[in-house]
Amino acid sequence: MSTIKLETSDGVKFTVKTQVAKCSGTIRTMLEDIGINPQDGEAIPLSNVHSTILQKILVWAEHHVDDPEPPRDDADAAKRTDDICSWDEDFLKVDQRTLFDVMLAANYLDMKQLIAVCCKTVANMIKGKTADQIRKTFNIENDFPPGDEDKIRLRNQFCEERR
Amino acid sequence: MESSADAHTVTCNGSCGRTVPPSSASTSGLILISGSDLRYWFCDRCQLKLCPMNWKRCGGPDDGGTRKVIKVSEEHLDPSVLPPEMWTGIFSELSPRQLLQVRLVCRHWRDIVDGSGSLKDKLTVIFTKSVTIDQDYKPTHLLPVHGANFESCKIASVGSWWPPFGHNLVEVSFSSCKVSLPDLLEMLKHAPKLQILELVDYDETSERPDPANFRLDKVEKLTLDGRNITQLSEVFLDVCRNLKSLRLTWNFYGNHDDCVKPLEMAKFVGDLRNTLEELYINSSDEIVTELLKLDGLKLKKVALLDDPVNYKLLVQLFQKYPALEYLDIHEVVDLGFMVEKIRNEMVHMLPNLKHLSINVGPYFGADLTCLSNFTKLQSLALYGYQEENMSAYEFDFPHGGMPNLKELYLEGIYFPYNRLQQFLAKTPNVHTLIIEYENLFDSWSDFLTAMGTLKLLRKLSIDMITIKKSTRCPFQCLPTLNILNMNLGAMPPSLANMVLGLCPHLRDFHANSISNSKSTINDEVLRVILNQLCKVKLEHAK
Repeated sequence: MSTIKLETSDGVKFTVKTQVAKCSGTIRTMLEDIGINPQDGEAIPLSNVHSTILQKILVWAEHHVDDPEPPRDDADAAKRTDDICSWDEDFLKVDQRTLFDVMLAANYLDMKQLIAVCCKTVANMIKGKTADQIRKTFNIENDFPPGDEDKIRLRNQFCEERR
Repeated sequence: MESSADAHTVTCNGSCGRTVPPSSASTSGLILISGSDLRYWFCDRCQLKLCPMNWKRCGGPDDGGTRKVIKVSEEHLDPSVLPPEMWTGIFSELSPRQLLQVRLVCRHWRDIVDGSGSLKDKLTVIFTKSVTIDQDYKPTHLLPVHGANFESCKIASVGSWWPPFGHNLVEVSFSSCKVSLPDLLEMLKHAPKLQILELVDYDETSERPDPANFRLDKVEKLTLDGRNITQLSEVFLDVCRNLKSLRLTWNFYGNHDDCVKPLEMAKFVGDLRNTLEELYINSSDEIVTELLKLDGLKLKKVALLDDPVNYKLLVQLFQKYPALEYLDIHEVVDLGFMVEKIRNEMVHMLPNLKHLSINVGPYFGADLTCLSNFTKLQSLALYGYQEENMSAYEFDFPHGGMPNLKELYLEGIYFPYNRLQQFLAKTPNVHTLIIEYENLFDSWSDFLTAMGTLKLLRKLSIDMITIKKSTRCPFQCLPTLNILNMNLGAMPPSLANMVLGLCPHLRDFHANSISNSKSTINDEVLRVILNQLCKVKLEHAK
């Protein structure tokens, strides 16, 4: 089984099965297109990813390495956020910082499936909440000048959902 | 759970929650200091699940041991921690109403939502009849959406708010509006991105407008009021030169012959021959006769609406447009009126048909067998008559049935005994079934057993159905059903409870006319369902 070495931003080196590492589009491109030869024993530098996050991401990649290619979306299949598998759901039961860091790393590593499942997880944290509740959930500061918010609220009243 | 030095044990604040003696907590794991003096201890294993990247370190590891002390930043989350495209990805999972809340959270999110098009695409701004639009009308805070509807508005002139708003519009509809043609054109001039334009119930006659000095080349779908065809066709032939879809409809209030001009209508259609693919038109023998005289049209979709048409004319139409993929003739002819030979030949005339809407007529024993010869049919709408014992249908589908059929719509059909089940057994791949307006079944048992034959059913809509007798029934689980719209008023309460309980993957449930005499859904079942659903609409719930 071929392996490659990855080096994180904090200098930790990971030895990873090539097949697992290839869950990352970024690493796949490096290996296949740019022609980095991992046999040299040289580690691929991942300068944007911290070792704690890479460790987590590798656990995910290991679990999903044999997943089939995602099916092309039915044109009529509505967006659903309830199709996160229970393993992923447990996997992403982490504090928000970690969740966002995983997303950033997945983005950098170009792991579309992981990004999608993270997006769904965050969307589920927003669903059914008012703006105030959303602010509390994410500890976001309300940076609208007082009064401005009312105007925006008013503006929203013009709209109706498209049938 | 604050860990303190004098406690007998220290509890890990991570997911394991185990306790250790203070001595071991002082040499291993991680201490987080939050705010001024809250301290949290995490064991070695749990600290790995935390991410220290965004925490500010206060000093290095203390005690010289492996334990680290890290101060948690209590600052607000900076939403720009994620790049905008990731927020866009998150927001795209949300409904329009949720997006409106998201817009209110902070400026950064508002800018992302407004800039992404996902909200603009999902919302329509509606101007209702309370609105008189003149120089004094100044709507403030309009969202830059892609769709606008004007419903029964009086429009005298539009102010400076319109051009920036119109500039974003992709779809605009005017229904029953009072607006002169020159004023309307002045509005449209500022909507260069328009793709869909509807003018419904519009028969304003005005002075002849000046030739338009602009074009709307992106408009592909146009709906016009046929009563005013002379003036409108002249204007829109000039302005919209890439029309793919044309809908000409009108409501008769006066004398038929006064307002409808088949010749001019056909001329308009003929002038669009280079681009037109879809035609929806209020029909009559005269109009179809005129359409048959046209050459060079490449129609793929045809819907003839409203008035009966002699089926011999229709046959000529089929022969003229053998490439048709979509045909809706349910308002203009009954399958039962066609002689058998023509019924059977229709399929050879229209070999590419993917959608068919047809009225199967009022005759007992009408034969639907010819339908199964449309092998490419994906969507079928069958309309019948509502009188009891009148609209029962025979069919003798050959072995294969209709394997490509995905969507089935039934209205006013009577399937006696287990005929529906036999019918659906021949359409095994149907994923959407809509049953509306006075369909009749002998018993719930027949009906529900029939549903069970569709192994791929995702969406079921049941409204206004009449069941002759209510019996207890062996109801099969509908494992694939996601969307259920139903009129609970027609169903015995116990059955409604059971039906809902047997749809494990329901996520969208729309119930109307819940009877108030007896509680239709009991609380326990409702609680189970609510847990399953992410979108619940209860209408007229009492």
